[in-house]
Amino acid sequence: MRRHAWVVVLVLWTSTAHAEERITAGAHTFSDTEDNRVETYTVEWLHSMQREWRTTVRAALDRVVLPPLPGLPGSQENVDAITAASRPVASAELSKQGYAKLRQELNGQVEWTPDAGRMRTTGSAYYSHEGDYIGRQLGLGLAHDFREGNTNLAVGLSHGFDTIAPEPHEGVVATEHERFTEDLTCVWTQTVSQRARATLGFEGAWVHGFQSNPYRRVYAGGELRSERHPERRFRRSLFGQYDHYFASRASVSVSGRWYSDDWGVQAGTFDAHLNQYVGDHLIVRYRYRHHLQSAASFQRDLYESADGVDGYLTADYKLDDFASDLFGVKLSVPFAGFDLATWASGVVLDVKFERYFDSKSFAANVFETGFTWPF
Amino acid sequence: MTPRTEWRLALRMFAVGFGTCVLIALAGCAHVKPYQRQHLADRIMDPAAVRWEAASERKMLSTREGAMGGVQGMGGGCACN
Repeated sequence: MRRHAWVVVLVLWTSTAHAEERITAGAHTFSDTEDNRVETYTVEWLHSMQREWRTTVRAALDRVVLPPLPGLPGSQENVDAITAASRPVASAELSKQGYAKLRQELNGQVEWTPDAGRMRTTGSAYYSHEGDYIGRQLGLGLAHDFREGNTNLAVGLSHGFDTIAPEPHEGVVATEHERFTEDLTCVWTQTVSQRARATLGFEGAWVHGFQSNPYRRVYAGGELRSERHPERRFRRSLFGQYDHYFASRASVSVSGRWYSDDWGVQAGTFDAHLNQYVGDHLIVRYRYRHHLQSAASFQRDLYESADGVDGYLTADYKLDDFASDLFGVKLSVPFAGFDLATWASGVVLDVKFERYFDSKSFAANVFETGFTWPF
Repeated sequence: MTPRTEWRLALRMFAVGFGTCVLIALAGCAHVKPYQRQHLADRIMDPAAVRWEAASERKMLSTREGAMGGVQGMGGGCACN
């Protein structure tokens, strides 16, 4: 019976009333001023099963390389680096070695589009694995067109259930933790004119469970103590985007996001893209992004008391107040129109470079290359 | 007024101003027929064209910034502390 069920699934999966197939693949590297480096290799396969059904499978492999910690073992400089570290350090001697880890990620989605494409229902599953963290998420989405597709309303729900199993770390007893996340996203997309579109949305996330970094320690009351964050967090954001097409074969996209949570962090983000065709086979995209955020209510540069603020301690730079900027350029080369074989006519090549820097003297280069191949 | 209060006031003003602009823009919406949407369907206007890179960007920014959320929607968990 089980074998027959697999045969049915395989026949349905390979039969295609609409031959929509697409492979997208790419490589992404991130390197920063602290010599941290992340290489990501991604491949995504979109497959139409029958006229109203579509599946997408996305796999990614991250290779994270962190440098040795600065300073001699036991020195103040070495210890200070350990307090802000995001890596396990089993001993002061091992802190002088580089650290590398792999993260595997798999994401599957099934999409059902009945009612002549006016409604779209999606179900998704996500799984990621690395040495000290397993991430899992299940999601459901529903989107519906109104007024001949001029208005689209979309709602998404997801439930995440992660397991954190810290590796052996100096001075810390490794215990397993769990973290749960419920996410709600609502998006309203509206056609404004023949050349413009606007989007408005809300996202809320309720996080409960372990939310600290098990490797990071904080100076409090004159001693090194493990970082301690609250176990509940309600995060919410309101965002909007406006896209406009110009007769010069260019488009502008501007977006804004306002974020706040009950840890006291508030943030505003502005993002602008300018896309321009150069001839028929080159698209240039310029980008600028600005982010501004306030610190968490329990964040301090120095804790006088061992109990921190209301029992919480953090050395997490993400909970500090800072501003960041990002500049970038992306080149896309659509093969359509070139004198090539039919199978290559829909291919698009992408190359992107971005520079990110913030007011805390951190900077990073992001380089990404990839292709999309419909067949 | 403390610096923290100033931050919050500035960010609230930004949220109200941006939301007002969006509502004003939406009030002038036209009804566009499907055969009139060739520009909206162009690659440089297609949100699906950037959705793929948005996933890796979302993960990168979550390791550096304390905010989350945006047009590209939800993502999965990782040891991104």
